[in-house]
Amino acid sequence: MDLTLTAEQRLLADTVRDLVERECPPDLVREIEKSERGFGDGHWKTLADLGLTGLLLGEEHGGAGQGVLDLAVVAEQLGWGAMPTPLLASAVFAASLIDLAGSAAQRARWLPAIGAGTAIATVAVLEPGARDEWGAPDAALTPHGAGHRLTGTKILVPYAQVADVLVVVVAAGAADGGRGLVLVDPGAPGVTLRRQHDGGGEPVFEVVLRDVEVAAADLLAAPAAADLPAAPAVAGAALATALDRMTVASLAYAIGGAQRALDLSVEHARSRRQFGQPIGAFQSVAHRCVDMFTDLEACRYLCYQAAWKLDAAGQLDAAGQLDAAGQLDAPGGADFEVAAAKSFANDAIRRVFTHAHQVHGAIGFSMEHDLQLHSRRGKTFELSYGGSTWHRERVARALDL
Amino acid sequence: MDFAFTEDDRAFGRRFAELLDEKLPPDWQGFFAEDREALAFTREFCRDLGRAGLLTVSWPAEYGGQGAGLWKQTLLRELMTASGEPRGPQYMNLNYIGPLIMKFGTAEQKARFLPPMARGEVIWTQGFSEPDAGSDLAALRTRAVDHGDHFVVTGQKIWSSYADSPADWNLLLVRTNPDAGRRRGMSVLLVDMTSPGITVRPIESMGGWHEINEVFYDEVRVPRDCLLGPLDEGWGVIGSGLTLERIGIPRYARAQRVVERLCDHVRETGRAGEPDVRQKLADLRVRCEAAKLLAYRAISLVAAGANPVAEASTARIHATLLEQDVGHVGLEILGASGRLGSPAEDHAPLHGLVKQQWVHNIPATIGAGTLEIQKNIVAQTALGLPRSR
Ligand SMILES: Cc1cc2nc3c(=O)[nH]c(=O)nc-3n(C[C@H](O)[C@H](O)[C@H](O)COP(=O)(O)OP(=O)(O)OC[C@H]3O[C@@H](n4cnc5c(N)ncnc54)[C@H](O)[C@@H]3O)c2cc1C
Repeated sequence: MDLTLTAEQRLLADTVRDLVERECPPDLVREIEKSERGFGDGHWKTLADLGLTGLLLGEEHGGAGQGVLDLAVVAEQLGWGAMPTPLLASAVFAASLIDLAGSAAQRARWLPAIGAGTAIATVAVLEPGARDEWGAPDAALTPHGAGHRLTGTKILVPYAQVADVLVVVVAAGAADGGRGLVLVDPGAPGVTLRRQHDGGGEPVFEVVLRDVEVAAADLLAAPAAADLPAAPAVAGAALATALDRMTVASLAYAIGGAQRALDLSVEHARSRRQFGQPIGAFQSVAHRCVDMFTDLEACRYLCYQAAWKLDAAGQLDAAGQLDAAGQLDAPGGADFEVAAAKSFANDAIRRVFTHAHQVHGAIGFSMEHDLQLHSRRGKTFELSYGGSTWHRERVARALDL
Repeated sequence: MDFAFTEDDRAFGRRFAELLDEKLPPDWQGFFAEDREALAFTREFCRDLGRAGLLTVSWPAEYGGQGAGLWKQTLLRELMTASGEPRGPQYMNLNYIGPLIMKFGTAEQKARFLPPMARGEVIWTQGFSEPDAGSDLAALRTRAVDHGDHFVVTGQKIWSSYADSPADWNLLLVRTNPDAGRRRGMSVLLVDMTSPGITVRPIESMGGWHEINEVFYDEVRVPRDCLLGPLDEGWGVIGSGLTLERIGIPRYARAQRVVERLCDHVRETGRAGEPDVRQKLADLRVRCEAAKLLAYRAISLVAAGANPVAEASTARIHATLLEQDVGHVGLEILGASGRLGSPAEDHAPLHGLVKQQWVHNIPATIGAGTLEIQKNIVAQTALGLPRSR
């Protein structure tokens, strides 16, 4: 037991923090948010040069073979700087799905490129009216000739406009955990993208799929993929595991943003004076800051624990034991830890931003102030990858209730 | 970062869990239950463990311990706290009065006071608070006049835990130099509770038996060799003791035990499917996890040689609020039948465990520094905010 970062993890955190402080000032974030592209090319190149796009991937794909915990350490610092980046969407969520459910050919085609940052992948999972990513999709494949056709509508797909490949979640039979996964070229006939605006700081898109041709070679977790070393994970299990990784990575990013909100609040409490004293000398203000701090500390170690547990479970996977009958709502290994972290953090991070805005007074509501960069992202985080009610239900199941 | 215990630590924990299974009476409700008999059991339990050399496993070998590391000590404390503290008042000796004597005591004091603690034969109380010195402890007035080879103590303390158990010894904070400023001029005395001039008046509490007491000192003679640490510098001595006290009691472990019993209860009574019950129990269990990890964070820093003042307070804030909510929400889940809270009541759900949880945690956010004082500590140490009032 040791809840301190290793020297390597501290170095990683410091490196990314440095990068963020130097190359990602708040005004640049504002500018990027207004741009078509929605992320900084320079940032992307630096992240790739640092090996962060390949952090999670195996060495056989040119990756660093590191864990979700290291990734969380990185994401926390990126979140502190509110850096808009497809890193999590591509190198965590999409890459995990391709890694867990892809054939050798699919993995060889995409993982080295994603890891090197020369390709961007993103996952299309949510549909209109969806409450969370665990809901049953309507998008469906129908057999057509030697392959399939795909029809459906996806929403809030991050970075779809720059993606080289979409991983689309589709309906499937119970044997696959009710989910299928297919690779779709966003430029293919029948795919239409429309920009959406959720205020969360990254570009998101509606993706309409109308009779899109899907070749057999583009199905993930296909039973026919005989070239896999081990039996491929069924799509449902792969999605469950990838969702958990993404949940934890996005949590780490949100913790960084909430930490920045606390830093800004403390700075403000020390410098803003009213009634002849710094407002931080009013105990109700000071105690709000403390509540932010204690909530954040709890989020942080719940998050690290979930990441650590995913890594421990992932090592079992590497031995080829990803539960082939894995159900979407019960991925192997880290169910309790991930759901505990996310259910706690959804509520806690909401509290943190409520306090931050209160401490700032009117200035925090202005777009000129940096707080809004983070509080908009905080709300998006809370509404992504499952609400606290859903994750508490997962906890209840893990408790055998 | 590593969130797992070593196999060695786990094996140690299992041995103690088995020991507790074997030693605790089947109807054991915990030391804080409304049952004076429990106190007698705790004396027997401590002597028993003391004879087997198991009471002080985490103390260094030179003081009769086995030098079990911080994490074994943590597992041991978790088991004891979860089981309703079968060591009774003596947990204080083991957690921090003993370690405080190791840190500040003379060789004679160590030889005199530590072995009886290790044998499980002695109960200590602590006398800091006074009627007019609560959170503002530095306002204390109980006076010790220096007569060279002895001090003469006069004054009044209040809320002294276990003084009427009865306590044999007292860790007493007194003013030795009234002219030295508020935080200077205080000293710590180790006081024999059988000394003439001491009167203990138990204070009845909502928790039933008399845990808390007023203690009056009327010209009590305390030999000079019972001064702990430097004269007039007792504030620092007590300060380091309070940090030990704050992380010394793993309250989250008791909270988790009660949550687990509630889970059993709703399963047995066919209520485990109620969505509201599932949500509430899951939420409490998650908060147990958060409070535990924050304690582990503070302990990890101790292991790394740091003095985690803000982290200890952070852990305590989470744990004490959690303990209170486990009582409140647990009773809400039990509903009307939860009103029957005494183990003596035939129809009391879980033998009154949850009602006891509620009542005994009303002051969880008061003792060892109130919630507000803990927050002030975090504001000043972790956030560098100005001193507030
Ligand atoms: C079960 C129990 C056992 C105890 N055992 C012992 C013992 O063994 N030995 C011992 O010496 N003492 C003991 N105490 C006493 C304990 O340390 C005090 O109760 C505690 O320090 C608070 O003091 P007080 O009760 O006088 O409250 P007060 O200090 O009067 O506080 C009342 C309220 O005012 C608030 N307040 C006070 N100052 C501030 C401030 N600066 N900022 C914001 N809010 C403030 C407090 O937070 C609290 O909410 C025990 C208490 C309990 C409940």
